[in-house]
Amino acid sequence: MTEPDDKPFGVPGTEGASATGEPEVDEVAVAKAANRFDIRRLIGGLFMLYGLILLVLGLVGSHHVKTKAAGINVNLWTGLAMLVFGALMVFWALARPTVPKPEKVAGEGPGQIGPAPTA
Amino acid sequence: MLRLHLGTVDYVILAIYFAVVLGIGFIARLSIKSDLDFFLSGRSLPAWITGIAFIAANLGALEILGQSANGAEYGVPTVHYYWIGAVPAMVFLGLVMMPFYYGSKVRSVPEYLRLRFNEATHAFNAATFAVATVLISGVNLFALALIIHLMLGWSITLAILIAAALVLVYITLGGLTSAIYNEVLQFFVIVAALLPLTLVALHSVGGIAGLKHKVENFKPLGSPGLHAWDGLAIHHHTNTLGSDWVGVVFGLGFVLGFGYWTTNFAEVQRALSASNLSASRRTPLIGAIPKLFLPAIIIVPGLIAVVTVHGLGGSAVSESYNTAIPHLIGNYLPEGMLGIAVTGLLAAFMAGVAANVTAFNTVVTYDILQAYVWKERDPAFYLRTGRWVTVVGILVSVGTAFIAKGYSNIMNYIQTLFSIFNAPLFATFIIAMFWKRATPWGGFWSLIAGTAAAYATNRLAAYHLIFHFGSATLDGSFWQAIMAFSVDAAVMVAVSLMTKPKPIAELDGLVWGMAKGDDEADIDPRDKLWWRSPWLLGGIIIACVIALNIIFI
Repeated sequence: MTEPDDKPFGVPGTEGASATGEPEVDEVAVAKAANRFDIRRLIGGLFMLYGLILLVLGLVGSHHVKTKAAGINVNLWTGLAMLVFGALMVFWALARPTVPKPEKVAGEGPGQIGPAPTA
Repeated sequence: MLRLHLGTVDYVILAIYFAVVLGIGFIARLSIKSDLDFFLSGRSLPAWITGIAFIAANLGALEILGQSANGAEYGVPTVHYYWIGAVPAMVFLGLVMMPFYYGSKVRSVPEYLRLRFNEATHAFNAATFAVATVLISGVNLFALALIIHLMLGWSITLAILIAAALVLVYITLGGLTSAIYNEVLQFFVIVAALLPLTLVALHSVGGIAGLKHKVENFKPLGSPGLHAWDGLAIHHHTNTLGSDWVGVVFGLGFVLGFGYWTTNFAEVQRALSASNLSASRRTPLIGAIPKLFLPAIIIVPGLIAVVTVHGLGGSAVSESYNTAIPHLIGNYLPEGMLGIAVTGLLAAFMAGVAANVTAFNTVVTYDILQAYVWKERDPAFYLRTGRWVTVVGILVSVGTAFIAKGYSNIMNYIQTLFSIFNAPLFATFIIAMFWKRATPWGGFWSLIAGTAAAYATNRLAAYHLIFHFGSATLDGSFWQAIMAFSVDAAVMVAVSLMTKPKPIAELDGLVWGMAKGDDEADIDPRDKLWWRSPWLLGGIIIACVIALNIIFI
């Protein structure tokens, strides 16, 4: 659907912490936090959970649940598709984990507020 | 029967989603250190995320219900909203305009006007934008509440308050990051709901051939409901939109489409939060890819609904075209998928509210409070202010939701807002970017005149003093936009020729031919890869849009 963007990316605010005068955070901790907050993991986790729920319903649901959608067991098929999609997202996140960006030079870096540009 | 009966599993699915949404808000809060983090996600997000957020910010209540309603009422010609009214403008934003926005380091659309013109233009635009945004987010909130009311049976007031409270919590905590993460999540959930729904419904009407056959034999749509470009001749239009090609191409495509996608800060803000110029340019381009194919899961269900749901298009609220998708959900989806669909719809509506609220708090904080009220305070002050502005924005939205409740036709209300606020703005922008001679006061008076012209045209049309394009209000809004654009452009040129232009040195990075590139430090070497070229991506998208138009001619 979208082009594969394998660029490692940082979670806002986890980089350049010193720019706001806060103590430097341990790099490993930052990387861990960034990965926990990786949206690919969030999407993957949610879809795998939803997929599992739908799959179970598709397998053990009542006759009405299995046939309501014009005779198609829509829970079963959507559940399977969501499981696969979720697993792919998690796989992508694990294969190319988030790497916090190195701190930028002072001045324009994230976490740094500049005055409003003047006309 | 529109009332849906959710089972236990459906409520579990819904509860899981809201737990995740609030969780994102709390985690995002931990990573927010500055106002720039809060308002622009620290300019750190990769292009695929901002690209999906870009399209998802638009995929709110009005889009899903409104366009499927158009699909039901007008049929295939509704694709003009996508392939003429959106995709070309998104490509233009990515290829031509983003270098000015991102390269000049502005934090909002009004801020560009401040640099390019003067403070008067800036203040006027910031104020009108703030007003327009809370009105639009109120409409979203009301639409959300209405659908909760129809589907789940809650009272509208209760639904408005609960939805507002949820959005308030996650945006106040996590700012734009929270809003964007939820938009991306919501996008996937709504696709996971609408795609199976469309396939199942299509299967039940005998596939694409069966649907075509049914639509051809269905009054009042018939065969014109299946062709996008049929019957658009001037003075002899038989198209279902009730418009001719001038209205579609210039009104919808050029003025309304470009006006919305290129100057609406709720959209542009997503691209501004990208990690560098290349990513920001690819944001609208990546967003355009799903936009190409969304008609398949939005317009097609509308068409299926109109031929299968008896009485759709009637005067009762539960029979209006807007309920096309909820009707299909009720007819086809069993427990489980029902939960996914309801979750997807609610999430999409909240994203629509959130997109407007995050744009509102940024513009109010940076462009009104920081610029004119509390200058030169420390970053923590603006971060705190931003959170309070969010609270105020949502409270006002709740108020405007009740205004929207008073309008019988929400779509007319929203079109009035768009043509008044967006159409003239686009004229001012396009001239500002391409004509160095455009002067500060030219910018100011063009905006005033354009906005006034749009409003006047709207009022005159409302009382039938001008326009007799038949009954189609759609065509009216196309022409209203054309009027606003023309008046704005004419005033801009006239005033500019009479007043003093800005020194060329001050236009650096703001006008065509003087765009700034990326800072050296920001360039990602991988952005030089040929497949990451914005021009290539844009070219492929335009080729796709032409091909799709030919297929559905």
